[in-house]
Amino acid sequence: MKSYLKLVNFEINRSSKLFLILTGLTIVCQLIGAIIVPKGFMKSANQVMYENQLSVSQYFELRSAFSFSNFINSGWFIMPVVFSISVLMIYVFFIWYRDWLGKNTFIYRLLMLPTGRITIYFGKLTAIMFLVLGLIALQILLIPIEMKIMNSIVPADFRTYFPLSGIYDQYMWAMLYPNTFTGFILIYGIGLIFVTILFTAILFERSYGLKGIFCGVVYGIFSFGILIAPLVLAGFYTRYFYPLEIFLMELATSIIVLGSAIWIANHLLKNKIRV
Amino acid sequence: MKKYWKTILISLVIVTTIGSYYIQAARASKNDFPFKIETTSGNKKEIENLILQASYQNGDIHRWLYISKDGSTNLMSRQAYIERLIAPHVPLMFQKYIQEHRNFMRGKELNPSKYYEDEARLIYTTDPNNRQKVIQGNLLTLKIDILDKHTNNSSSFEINTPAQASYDWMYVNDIYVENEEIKILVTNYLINGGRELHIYTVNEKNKELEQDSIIAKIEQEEGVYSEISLINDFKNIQNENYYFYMVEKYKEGMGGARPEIISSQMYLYNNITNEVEEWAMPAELKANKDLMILHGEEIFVPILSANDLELNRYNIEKKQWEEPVNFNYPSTVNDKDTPFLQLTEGKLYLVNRIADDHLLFIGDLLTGESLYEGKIIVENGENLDTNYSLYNEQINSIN
Repeated sequence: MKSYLKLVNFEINRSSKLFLILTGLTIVCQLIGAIIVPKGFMKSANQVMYENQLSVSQYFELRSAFSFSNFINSGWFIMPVVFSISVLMIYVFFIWYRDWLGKNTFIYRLLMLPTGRITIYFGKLTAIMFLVLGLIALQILLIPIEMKIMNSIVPADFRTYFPLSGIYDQYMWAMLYPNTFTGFILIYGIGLIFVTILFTAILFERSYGLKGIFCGVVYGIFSFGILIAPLVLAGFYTRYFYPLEIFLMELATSIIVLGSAIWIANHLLKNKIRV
Repeated sequence: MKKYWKTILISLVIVTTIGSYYIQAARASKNDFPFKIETTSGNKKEIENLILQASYQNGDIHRWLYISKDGSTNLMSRQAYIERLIAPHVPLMFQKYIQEHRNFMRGKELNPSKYYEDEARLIYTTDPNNRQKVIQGNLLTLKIDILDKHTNNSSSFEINTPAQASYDWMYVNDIYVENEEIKILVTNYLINGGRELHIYTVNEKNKELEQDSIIAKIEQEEGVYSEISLINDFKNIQNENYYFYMVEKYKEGMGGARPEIISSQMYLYNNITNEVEEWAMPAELKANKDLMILHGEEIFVPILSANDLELNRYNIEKKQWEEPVNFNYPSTVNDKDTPFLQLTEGKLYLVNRIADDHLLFIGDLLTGESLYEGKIIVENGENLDTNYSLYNEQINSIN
């Protein structure tokens, strides 16, 4: 346990630069957007009203009011999110390959540590989840601030009522932030399982070289297939299975996939890994 | 400890932020747009078991609400995508069926028009050929499932009959059951663009198709838009003695012009005698034909004004217009909006916009007296925005 925590801390420290870059980029980009988007809206609104000599109410017969979703669906908001997701995807690979391909083969030292080798795997997994949840938390903190900025730029007459809970209606948001805790556990649980599948596939490659790439791909597809089997089945026989039944089937397959990913990874790390 | 400060700090931020977000989400999910019914006059018992299904819309915020005397609850739009994938929404009226007949309800569409229910049985049918294309001469399949409510045993059978024409797809509108005959009212969409309204009569005993009759038909014509619309409200799952439908033809409007009506005929099909007769609407009521309601053996044509509602009634069995019933409500309603009207068990339910709120009015169809009057209002003053619209979908009474 202690060595696991030490490893987690070590991995987090190694990725803290990346984390800072991503948070910085997100904050800067979104805050600029939070100013530019409403300013642009007000500018064009004032222009249209001035040119056509319209009153506020006449203007709204022509155009719709400003809504927070104008910002959420703008590039200023979406780009940093998409960028962070892609960087984290790459990092899933990087976190392993760095130790092999870095200056001095660091993986030597890691594998020599007087603890079970699977601990390394868990350490890296935890670090990845940390980065993901850290960025998720950051976005939650940013939203109210951005709302305040916008409400100070756009007068109340020019915007629609948009309570904090209105963000759940935004597609982008609803995908990343399920509005029930169950949904949250489900989506990030599935994310976690995906990462374990990728990790194990990477270890296949590290153990068997080119042959390992093939093994890894086959293993990945197979695991993914098992994971989504209940959903495919439920989709195929519409409404045949009740929610609880689908959930239990999904839980069973998730445990199977997660368990086998860890078991295979453990086996590879112990006996097959090549440095 | 010092070594770990980064990790500890980030963990704390993650846990508190996500934790508080979900505490807030849970609070909001119960009720971020709280509505309630406030009684103005009449008998409070009338709304004791009522649940209004309404959709709330404001800018780009949309919510499904159930409003009752105790307040409102949100549903569905609040569920996470992933949960919705696993647990699609179950309409109010079907929750009871699923609880009681879990196995029978497996794989069935939750749409009241596909069901018939009486004391002893629950009968279900799906859209023929699962809404797949069927080519003339190939087999058209009707599948019927019957549940004996007392023993909880179910049986099902299929009937195959050669299709009379080539259909793109078919849709079941209603199912009518009387002395061992099951009648299925189906709209058939032809591949060449026409439409037919069929009644398939199935004999339950010998499991055969007794009759396939077409009670309305439209052909595809160049520059003409035609439509068969059913006026019955198939939301209840008991027998409907009459089918009331309209066949209309329009000249297709060019560039957003209003389509010009060429012809419009209305028909009544009597389920007991299996006869169709044309029904003519008096010219002075034609403007209100969109609000027509068929309720039991009567056709109601409402005429609305700001302070009252005149219900013109036609008795199908007696073949005559009866004395109209008038309902007066003290609040001035907005007669520009189309009101929500529902007739259930001899009562009239009306929801209409008044100033910033909505009026809920319940009246007695026989006497025309007001039984209940109330307002559907936003529960707290925080939400000062009154630009919302509330569309009522249905009023259910939960017994």
